[in-house]
Amino acid sequence: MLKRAVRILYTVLLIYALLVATHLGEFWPFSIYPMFSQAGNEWSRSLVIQSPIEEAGAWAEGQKLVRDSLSGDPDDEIDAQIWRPLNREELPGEPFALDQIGLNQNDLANLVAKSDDWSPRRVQSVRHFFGNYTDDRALVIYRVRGKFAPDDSGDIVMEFTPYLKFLPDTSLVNPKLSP
Amino acid sequence: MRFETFYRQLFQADREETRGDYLYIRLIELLVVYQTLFYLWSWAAYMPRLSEVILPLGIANYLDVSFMFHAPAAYLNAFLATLLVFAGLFGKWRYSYLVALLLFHLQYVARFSQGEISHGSNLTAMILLSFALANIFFGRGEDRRKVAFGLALFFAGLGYISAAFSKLIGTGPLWADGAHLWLWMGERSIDRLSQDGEFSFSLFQQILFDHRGMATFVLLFGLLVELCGFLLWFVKIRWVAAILLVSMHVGVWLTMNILFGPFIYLLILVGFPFNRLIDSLLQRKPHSEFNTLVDRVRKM
Repeated sequence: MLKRAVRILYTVLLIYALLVATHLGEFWPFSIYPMFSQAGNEWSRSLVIQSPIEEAGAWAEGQKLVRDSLSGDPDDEIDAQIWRPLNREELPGEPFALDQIGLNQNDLANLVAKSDDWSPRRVQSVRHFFGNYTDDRALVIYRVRGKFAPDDSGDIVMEFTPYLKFLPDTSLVNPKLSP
Repeated sequence: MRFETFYRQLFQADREETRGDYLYIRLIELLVVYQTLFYLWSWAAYMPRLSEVILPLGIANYLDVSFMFHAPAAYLNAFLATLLVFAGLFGKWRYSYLVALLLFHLQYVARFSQGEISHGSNLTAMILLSFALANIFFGRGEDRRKVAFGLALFFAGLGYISAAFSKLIGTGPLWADGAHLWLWMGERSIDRLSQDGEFSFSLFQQILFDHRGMATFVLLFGLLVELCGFLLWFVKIRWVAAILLVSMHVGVWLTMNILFGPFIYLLILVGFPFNRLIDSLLQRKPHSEFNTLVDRVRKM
């Protein structure tokens, strides 16, 4: 029994090593367990901020007024203002709990961080997550980046960049992300 | 300790199986079966939300698993795996756990195709694999249970050692700098805010933010405990390893709000000698009907 058991152990170990070596350390359930192995690196997560429909309407109307009031080609200027990165205190509204729609925050965070093609289909699939929660409010999906402050104090700086805005009748994408 | 001595104690080769041993291993098997079913069905319920594969893992590198997002594929997969898991539990087909594990793998790679790599279910699946291999290669029940338990312990310990070396290779000894913990705590604060809509740091977390040395100690403790994962391989000090590893998981929970519940439950069960406790309970009434029943089931 012992000889056979040891042979099985080594065979599994060999298969384990081959699979993780050829699949970037992960071939479930085999893994090199690399979580939190690279300390100090900038991280990227996501956060959804909601605001009432009245504010969303005022926001859309405000953009229209600003757009109309500017001469020439104001798009770049407006876009830069609308889609500028914010700090935490500037976030316009309350966090939207993903628990309400049964969505795991890891999935949204990774979708936001790892997508480089924001095609209308992908935007629609993200909007689909929120079901009818987009009917009566504005939802803004932020990519949140965190890193150490440059002064070596150990303080953490977080930057919230709006990626997607869902209004009841439209979906807007940060123009820097559009294909 | 010679290698042969090491393997003899890992697989309990020189020890006659007691009733306590039998019930203990069956209890572990039952917990693994429960966790497997829990994952299979909860992932099946989640999958209709997904629409495309962002990060292909495992078999998804070779097969487009997006078909699993459309009902009833994930439910059907869970159903088939459930039948196989029960067939394995009741010893109906020696390959059933292995096939169930393959379906479990398919369920995992479909569920975690969105970019996040989850390790919460790895230990459950590794122990299921241990039972699967033991069932395939050993005919005698006692051998099957001893081998399954030995393999499970070996791969559980190996996982922790691998996690520690990943950190030492990925960052080096300065991995344990407390400021790194601050950065991760900040990251997790956004995760909780995103998931729950609200979050505030606990008193313990605030103390860690105020004392870099204490944060460093917490990380250093975690790293050293992971390096000691191999202690699970030695029967006499296994309980020490279990206490250390469970403490480490509790530390991860308190600092970063990440609770690896299934890992903890399995570690507690695998790490402490519950077999001896069961034996001492059963020996109070050595001729009880229950003992006779256990003996009869063991021979099946």
